[in-house]
Amino acid sequence: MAREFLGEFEELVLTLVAALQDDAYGAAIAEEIEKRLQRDVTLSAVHVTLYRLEDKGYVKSKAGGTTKERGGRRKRIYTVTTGGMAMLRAMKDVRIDLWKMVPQLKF
Amino acid sequence: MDNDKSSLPKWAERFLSAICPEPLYEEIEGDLIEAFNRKKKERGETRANWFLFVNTFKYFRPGILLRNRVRPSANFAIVRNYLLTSYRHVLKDKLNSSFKLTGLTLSLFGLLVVALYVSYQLSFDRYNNDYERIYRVNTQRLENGNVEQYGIAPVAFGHMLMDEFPEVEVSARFDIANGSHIKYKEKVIWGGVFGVDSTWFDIFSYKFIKGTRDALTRPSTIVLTETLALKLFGNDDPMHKLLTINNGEKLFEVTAVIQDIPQNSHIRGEAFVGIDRTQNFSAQHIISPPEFVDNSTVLFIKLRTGADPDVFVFHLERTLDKFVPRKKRNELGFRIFLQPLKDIYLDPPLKYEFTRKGSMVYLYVFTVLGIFLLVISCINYANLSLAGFMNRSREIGVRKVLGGKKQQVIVQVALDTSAYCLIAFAGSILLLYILFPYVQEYIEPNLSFDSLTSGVFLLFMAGIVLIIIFLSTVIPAGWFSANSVTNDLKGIISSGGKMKFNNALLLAQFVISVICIGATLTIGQQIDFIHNKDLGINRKNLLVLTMSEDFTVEKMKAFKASLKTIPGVVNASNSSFRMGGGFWKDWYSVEVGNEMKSFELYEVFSDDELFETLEMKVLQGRVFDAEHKADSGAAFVVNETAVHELGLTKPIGTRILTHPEEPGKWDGTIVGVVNDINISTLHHKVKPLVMRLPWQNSYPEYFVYARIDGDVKVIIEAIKAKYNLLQPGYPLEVHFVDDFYNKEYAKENRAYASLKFGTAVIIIVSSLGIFSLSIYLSVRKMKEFGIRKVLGATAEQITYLHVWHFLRIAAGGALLALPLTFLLMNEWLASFAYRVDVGVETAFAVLALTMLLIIISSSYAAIRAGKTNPVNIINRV
Repeated sequence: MAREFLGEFEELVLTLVAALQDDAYGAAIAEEIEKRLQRDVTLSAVHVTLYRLEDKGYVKSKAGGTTKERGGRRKRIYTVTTGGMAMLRAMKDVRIDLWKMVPQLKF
Repeated sequence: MDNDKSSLPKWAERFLSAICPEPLYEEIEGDLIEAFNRKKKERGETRANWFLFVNTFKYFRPGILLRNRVRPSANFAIVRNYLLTSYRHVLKDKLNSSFKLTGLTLSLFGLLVVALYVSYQLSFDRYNNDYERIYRVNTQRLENGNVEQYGIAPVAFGHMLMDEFPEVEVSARFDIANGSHIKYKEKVIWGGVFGVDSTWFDIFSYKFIKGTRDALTRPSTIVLTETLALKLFGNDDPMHKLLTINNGEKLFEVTAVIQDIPQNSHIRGEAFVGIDRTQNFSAQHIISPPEFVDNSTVLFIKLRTGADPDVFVFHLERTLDKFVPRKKRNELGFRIFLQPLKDIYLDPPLKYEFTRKGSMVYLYVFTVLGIFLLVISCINYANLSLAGFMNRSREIGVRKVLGGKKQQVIVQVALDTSAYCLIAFAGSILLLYILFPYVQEYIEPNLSFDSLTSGVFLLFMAGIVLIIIFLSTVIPAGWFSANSVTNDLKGIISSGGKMKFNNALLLAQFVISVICIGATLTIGQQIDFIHNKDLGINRKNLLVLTMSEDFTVEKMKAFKASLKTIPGVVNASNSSFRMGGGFWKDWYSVEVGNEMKSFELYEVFSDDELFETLEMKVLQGRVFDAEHKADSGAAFVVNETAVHELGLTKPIGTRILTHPEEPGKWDGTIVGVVNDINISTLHHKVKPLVMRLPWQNSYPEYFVYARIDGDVKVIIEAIKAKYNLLQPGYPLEVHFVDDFYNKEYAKENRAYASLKFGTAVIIIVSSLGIFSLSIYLSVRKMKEFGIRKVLGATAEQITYLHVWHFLRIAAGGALLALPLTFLLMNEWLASFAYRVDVGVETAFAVLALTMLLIIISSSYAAIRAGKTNPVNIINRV
């Protein structure tokens, strides 16, 4: 079986799902990306990424509550699965390992 | 905030709901609204609107669109279940299912036949490489105020075109008459020999078995077709053998053998020799009508790629200016036009055209028939499958309750239809395979089963099947996906519209059926009329013998005398006209009132036995008598039409003369009037005709008519033997006059046979449809019938009510279709000079037939409905 890899944006979204916990849904994730990364993102990109992550089994979703701002429409709350967590952790470890290889210049 | 938006604009909603998978829609909508409201607070309304606009349309991406499909993992099991359920329904209702299948198979079969025929007709001459660049050079002249179009052009054009016109890649002439039998040693074989330029094979792509395309570049060479070579030489190598043609002195060397010319060629010959016509162009070849015909021949050109035919014609006309001034040509109405090779077969016939002709009219008839068949099968199938699915509404309801989606209903209906269509398609091909010999016999002998496997044809049929599947899926699928679950479960299909739709389909079906029945009846009447019309002669047991060209007057005398010694030959006559060929034509002066007037009359030179042999009737006076010396040149017999058209009140004794340049030679009186005779098809009117003895009773022409009585084979053998004594080496051409007529009407007969066949299919399919539909309907209306019965209706009344439902629609259909049929049929009959009238009786016959069919096909269900016991019905939920 070929190993699955995550794209940069996928990793970003997955990390945010993990970070936002019970408040991880499309609009919130998009807002976080805009605020924290100053990066323009369309909602559809976030949604498509979420669905893809769900297909790959890294997140799962359930119907969530509703608020007035969303005109009474229900949210879909995403949570990271064990597999997704393992993936995130593995990627983080690899990054740190690689980072260690970079010569650390001290000033 | 109170001014928060609580929903998306309408356009966004519609757009998103169209492209987003249903389960995702709410989340996406909610997120969009939330993000919009946030943007509005942060950046203001305008920016927020722009954000919404961009973000909404960004959902149009594969990641969203492709999520709409039904998951394949779930699909397979469900598909199996659909097919299984369909199969169970087939088992439950074997009769209706088999009717549905039979109807579809039959109409697909009909459609296949029609498609084969039409594709064959359209394939003519298209096998030639570069056929789009090949044209025939035609001419047009003004004669007696009429524009006459000829399929020939002056012979001299041939060289001119090759040498002087850069647009012409190659040109080739074709000479019509160049012999009819070929002799090798002692063997004489019939075969059309045609003279062509050696470039002929650069235009027509014949396949060479032996030799090459330049086979005719040397003089005295001949190219044979495979079949003819086989007949002449058997298994010997035909190459370089020497032959003679028509008993001539000249020897021809075989330099090539080609495959038989394809059936779908408008020109077919068995052998080709070099053309030996090298006239130089003279102005008279255009100016004088007889010289034009004598010095013209069939001419083909292949233009260079990209050359414009109009420009070529323009150049040619300009070149002609050197020979005949434009003004003179305009007076003659002389014009040159090019006819594309591929159109020659189906275009209307031209004068002196050497070709086999198809008929655009019959091609249209066939195409329309094909479309009718397609429509009928679609309507019928849709109607039945609609009715069938209505009885399955509970099943669909349960499926919906268990989570079936709209799209799944569509998939289910489409699958059911596809299964039927594919089975019917396979069945129709099998049927075609089995019945192919009959199709060839009745429709077109040259059809080949192989063309079924050609890519284009398969693609076409696949298209047709897809159309049927699509049309018969859309409607039931539409009904069911729109119906609510509760209605599904109650067995109600949003009532009113449904029945109306069914009725509209029925109406269309009846319109088509009535048109087809009407056309078949009328054409049948006309065909009967043709076969039974009194042609003025007795054409049974009448032979026409054609002499070879060098048959002399003395030989004719001897031949006629020897014919009469054969037992079984009742009468024999030698005349100048051939059945179907036509008469000569000349100018006559006739005394009308007290002055001599000029008329162009058709003429026959004949011996005096013609009238007896053909069994014509003498209406007034007497016929001429060969024994009577004075009758030669002085006694004229005219037909009835001549009397009417010339306005002769007392025809006997009227002075008539012709060829005034030889005074006294052809000058005499009308001695008798005979009945009109039709020597060509009934498409043409009988023309005024004058008959006379040849000068000094010398025998005239090449045609001998013989009335026989007895064993045909023996008599014909005896005639041939007598002929061979006089003219050894030539086979005698013997035909039955009856055969000529039958051949002339072959086109009509074939069209009639196919129309009968098409109508039969349409009637059967419709009857099966009505039968099944009436059963479905009676089941649906059982409760109504039960209640009516309880309230006192009799079984007859209910039966009547049920049949009436169909009759009413049929009457409407007939009302629409009859006038249309009338117009169509009048149009067709207009091509006959002698024809039946389309009358009220035909209309009544059509009506009666339609009604009868409906009553027969719907009465089974109706009687069953009438007989039901209300107790069994009414207390059902």
